[in-house]
Amino acid sequence: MNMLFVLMLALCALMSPVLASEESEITALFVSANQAYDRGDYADALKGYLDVAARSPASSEAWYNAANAAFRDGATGEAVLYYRRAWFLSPRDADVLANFQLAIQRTGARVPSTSIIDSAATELSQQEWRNVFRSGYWLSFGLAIPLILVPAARRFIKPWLALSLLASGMGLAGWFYWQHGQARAESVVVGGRQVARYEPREQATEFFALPEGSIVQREEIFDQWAKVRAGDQSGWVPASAIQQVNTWK
Amino acid sequence: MKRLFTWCCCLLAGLWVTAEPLHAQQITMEVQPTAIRLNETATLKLNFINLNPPQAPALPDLAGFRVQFVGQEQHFQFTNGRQERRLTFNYQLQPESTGVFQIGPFTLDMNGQKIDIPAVGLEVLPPSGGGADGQQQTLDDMIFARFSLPRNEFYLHERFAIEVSLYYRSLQLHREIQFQNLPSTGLNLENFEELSGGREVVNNEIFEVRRFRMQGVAIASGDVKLDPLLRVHVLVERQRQRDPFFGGFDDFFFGRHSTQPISVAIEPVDIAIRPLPAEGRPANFSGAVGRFNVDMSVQPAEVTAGEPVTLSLRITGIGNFENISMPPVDFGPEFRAYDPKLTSTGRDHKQFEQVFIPRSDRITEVPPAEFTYFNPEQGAYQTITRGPFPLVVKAGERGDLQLVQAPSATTATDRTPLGIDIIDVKRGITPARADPSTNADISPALHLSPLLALAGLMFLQHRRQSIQGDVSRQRRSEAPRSARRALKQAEEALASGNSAALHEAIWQALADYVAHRCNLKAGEVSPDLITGKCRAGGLSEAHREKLDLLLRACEEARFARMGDGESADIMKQRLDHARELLRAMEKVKLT
Repeated sequence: MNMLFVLMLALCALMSPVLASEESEITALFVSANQAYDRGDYADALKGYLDVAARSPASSEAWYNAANAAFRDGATGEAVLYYRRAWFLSPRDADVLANFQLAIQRTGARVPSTSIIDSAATELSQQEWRNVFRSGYWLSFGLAIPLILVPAARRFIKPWLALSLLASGMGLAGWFYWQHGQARAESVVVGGRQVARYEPREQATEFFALPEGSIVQREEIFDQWAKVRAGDQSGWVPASAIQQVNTWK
Repeated sequence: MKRLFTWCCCLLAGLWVTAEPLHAQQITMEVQPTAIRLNETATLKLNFINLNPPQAPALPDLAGFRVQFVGQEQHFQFTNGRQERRLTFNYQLQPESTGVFQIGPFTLDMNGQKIDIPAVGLEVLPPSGGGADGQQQTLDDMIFARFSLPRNEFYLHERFAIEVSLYYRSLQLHREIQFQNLPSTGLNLENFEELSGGREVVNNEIFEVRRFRMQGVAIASGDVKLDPLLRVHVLVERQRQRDPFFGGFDDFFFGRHSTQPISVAIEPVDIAIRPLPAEGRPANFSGAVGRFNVDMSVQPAEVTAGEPVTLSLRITGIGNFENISMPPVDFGPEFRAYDPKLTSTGRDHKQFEQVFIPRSDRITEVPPAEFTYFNPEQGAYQTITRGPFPLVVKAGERGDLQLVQAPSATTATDRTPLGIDIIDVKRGITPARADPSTNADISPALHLSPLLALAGLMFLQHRRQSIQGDVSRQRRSEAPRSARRALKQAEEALASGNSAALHEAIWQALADYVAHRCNLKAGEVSPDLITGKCRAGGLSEAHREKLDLLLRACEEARFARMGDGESADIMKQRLDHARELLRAMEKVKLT
């Protein structure tokens, strides 16, 4: 047992310089991209931010800055996509929300309607919901031990155990919403205005227009075409014309 | 509630105000029923529709009838926004002789305007006096039913009405009826409804008539035999001894009649369903069978190139509307046409809308639409053409096409400018390598560990609680511990060279061990009991011999003081034997 503990300590000691060096590399890349942004070299800055985002996909700052660079570079559709990703990671970040609204306004696209459940679930990010779940989960076990061993304390422990179980359930539900809910299939129209068609072929009748930056729900993929839903209408657009917001899993 | 009442009043007032003025002034005459017996009366009704006579008109003398004015009724009704007022004068007709009579025609002078009233017929039969010709009546004489079909040959997919008339007399029928033995193939019967009934004279007898109608749809070509049964319920007066105290109560709840079901056979009808002819079938025929009319309109008639225009097409008539789709319009390359939409449908109509966009100002008309259907009455295909419709297209400011924006289950974006520029980039970063949707930062095994720990804890707790309530199990678990304690004392005695204490401790170890294992009191344990328990438990022969020797040595040392002066090796050997024996006894079952 003692040996195992020593081994784990040794592994941590060996790994920490590696991790620290990777973090410093990411930070250096980020700073370098910021400098390019300040110089007005938005294409270079965007490349740098996307490089940072590839190494640190859960960093909302990388996606936010990438969105800013794309916006300055004229790629408004991509900017909406990256703002949306940043919002997925930091749903309460006011900067992200403001810039996202401005980008959407510039494209002429519409913001998807949200239900009460959507609003409640997006108060916290997926990672935050997961932390709520974990906290509730471990706290529940922490409280379950004295509940079993000390019968006299049960009366005092039970309400706290119920609360921690509730928190755990809410955390799991919030995490599930992000993982399998509406956000899962959300995509953004990039590369100019698109026209949704009735069928997945070039000659099919046109149905409705989708401005660049429109947020749609991807319903299915067929060949090189994607069926998307915007509001209460569904149509087919080239699969390359949309990019999924949540690409982490 | 008050608001609802106000709204209702406003609605009624609106209806009254917006209703079209009175029109279609008319006088009609009817007799109910149209067949009576000499000892019955009929009612003649003079209906003044949207007319206002000052008083009931005096009827001329009607030969064979005594006429008496019995009152008037007034009705108002709104139909499709039109107001109709009907004033009815009722006259009772008492026949004086039998025969077929014609009442009218009359001409009435209303404010100088002469209005003709068509004649109506009334048949008067002799008074009822039993069966026809005085013979015994059968049930078939009293109730029967007949089919009424427009013809006996129909075309595939044709819709046609089937009427059934139920004739009965001298019977009272319950309202409920059922059709049985309807055809299950070739013909689909639907939309069953009861029409207004009346009286008819059949074989010189007056019958009450109930009429029913259903829609038949020919769904497969071939011959179909219509041979259904009509199940009706005859009301029969209860034959009961009336209870002087509770009879009224019983009648109130259960009625004075019971029902008796009977099946009425209808004369069978053979129907032939023919396929639609292939000869002369137009290429644009899409399966419509019946009689139809088409109305088509285009709105607006004047647009700018690139603006949408709506084509509305309404098909009305009688037929298989479920098979009807929007007739294709050949818009050509000058138009961009969207798929048509069905906007309204019903049993007698279907309405479509199609949006199209003229691409250039060279367009002057909208191409015609052609609707082809098969007319079963004429046995031929017919085509209705509507259009072309004139369309004025003005040149647009932009040459390109205006697309229709996807509407809106999305909320409208707030178009108020939010600001002139985006907020600046962030200067710091918190590197987060992990995929936000995964648990890569913590091993799943770690998450499982509290579950396992909790399960183990619960198991131990359960075991502890079960042992606490069982003395024998408690003592069983105490046995090795008590033996270890005594052996420790023996070791101390061995170290100090005290043979008596050593043997005392070894005895104590063996005796305590067996007492706990077998749940015995300490005083109950003797060397014989120990050896007996070990034998019964299956201890090996060699171990039993060692046990005998050891117990004897202990007895001698404890009571006869014969062990004093024993060498340390012997004492150690005895202690080793004691340990070995206790280990062996732990493995056998002592009870």
